[in-house]
Amino acid sequence: MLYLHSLLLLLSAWTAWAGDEVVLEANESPPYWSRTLPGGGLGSELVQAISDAAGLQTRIEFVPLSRMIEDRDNNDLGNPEFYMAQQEFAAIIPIAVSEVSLFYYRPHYQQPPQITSFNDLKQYKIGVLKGTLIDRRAFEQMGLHFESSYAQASLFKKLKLGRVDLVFEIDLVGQQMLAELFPTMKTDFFRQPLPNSISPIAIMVDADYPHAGEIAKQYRNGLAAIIADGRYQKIVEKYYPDGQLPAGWFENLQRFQRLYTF
Amino acid sequence: MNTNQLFKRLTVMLLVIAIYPVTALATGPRIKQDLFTPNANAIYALDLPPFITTELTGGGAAIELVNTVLQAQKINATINTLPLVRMLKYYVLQEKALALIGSHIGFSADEQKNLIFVPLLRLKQHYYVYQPKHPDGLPWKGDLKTLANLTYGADPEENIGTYQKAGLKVETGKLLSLLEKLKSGQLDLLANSALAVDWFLDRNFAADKAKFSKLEPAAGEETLFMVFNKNHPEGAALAKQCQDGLTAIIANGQYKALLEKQFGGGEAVNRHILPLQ
Repeated sequence: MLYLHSLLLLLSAWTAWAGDEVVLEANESPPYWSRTLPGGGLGSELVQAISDAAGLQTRIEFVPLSRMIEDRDNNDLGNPEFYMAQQEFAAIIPIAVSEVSLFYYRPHYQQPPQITSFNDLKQYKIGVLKGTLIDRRAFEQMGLHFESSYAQASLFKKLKLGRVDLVFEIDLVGQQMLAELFPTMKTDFFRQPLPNSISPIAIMVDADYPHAGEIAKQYRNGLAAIIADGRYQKIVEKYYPDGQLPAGWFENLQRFQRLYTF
Repeated sequence: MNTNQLFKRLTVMLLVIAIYPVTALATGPRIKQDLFTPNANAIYALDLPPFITTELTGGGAAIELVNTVLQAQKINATINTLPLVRMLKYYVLQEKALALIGSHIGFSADEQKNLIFVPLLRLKQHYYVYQPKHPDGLPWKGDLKTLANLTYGADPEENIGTYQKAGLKVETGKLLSLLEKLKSGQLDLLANSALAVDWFLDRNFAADKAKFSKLEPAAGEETLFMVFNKNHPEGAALAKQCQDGLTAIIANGQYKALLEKQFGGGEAVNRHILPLQ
């Protein structure tokens, strides 16, 4: 049995190397990374188009987020802030951006809420995903009231039922979730994007990965090529319900590229 | 409900509990204090547990100290903790952020001309070895030359000239990587605050913690600074206000009380932290 196990391990190590294939890990988080979406989601489509343009073979493996964070020798896909504290990377290559929006259900409000700071949120019960508050104590000291849920669907159902007044969510995830849960009620939900919430979505190549520097260079060239020939924009636009890239997308992408190559 | 149905429901509930915390985090927005304040005075801090870390409520001792000063001086600023020195440098040098908090930042002499350094915390440092590789410890009595030809693990931004001059080989990495290399035998020694080393040993090497030995005497010290940017319109003025605020909380005992609360009493503070000069 032990012999068979060792043989399988050897075999899997050998196949990972075959054809200089680069293995990147993502976790199931639609619409960015998903085994079940056609093309694998926005991020997966971009990675494959970049690889295609760069002449690289890339395989995306889906693993739980906790394992991605704990594994400190792998290549990751996602928001670098989740991984950088634990792992050293040869390169972090931002390929897309995401932003956070506040969502509310219009029929519950006679007047739309005017929210320009956390102070304006004191009168509301705010729905958040468990584990996403970075400094809970500071928020509690501000007098804010949060209700946590384990799943996005639950947050938006609570919003419609009035069990929470507002929901913090990644803008594209929230839009897709509402389209899925309440397809005929799109105009009943309002979203307010938050200007200082923009985060990168990146390819992260581990510091000890063979030929990491060369692979990173090829990914960067591939990204530049698909932006230049329009493939990039076509892929991203497909995932936005109105078919439009959010304003400032490329400026934000370039800013993160400068940040991670500084 | 029969036993089979009950069992199925329990199984599904357990699966949901087991899977959802992981998948939820994956697409979750990071809800930080600066979400609504793009134009506020931005301060960036280098992740340095247990002094600077989003894993602790309050952000760690250094962040609590800074927040106490900011509050006392009525300064409106948000602190964002980041994992890499080069990210902090980018924000300060390229985007003219107000300030950063950290140690081993490694600015060039030219860059330092536009920066104001306010010392925040002085930490005692000790050398650490891995007992199975060095059962008798090392001949450390305060002279680095006695450690010539050994391999020292340094922070990527650390000034390593002294070690090279004494004949040590140097490898760089973040503390967690250095501890792993110490355990695997790739390194002979590293230096850091015992509070920082204990943080990582407790979380990542709990079973082997006793095999990591601290050498006496102390290796030296490391200072955590607030570094203000003269290229920020309010950089110089707020640096002075923060220096005044820090002096005030040292004088009124808040500084000491906060450290004692964080690190478990006055004896622990005396053991690990040096008074600000």
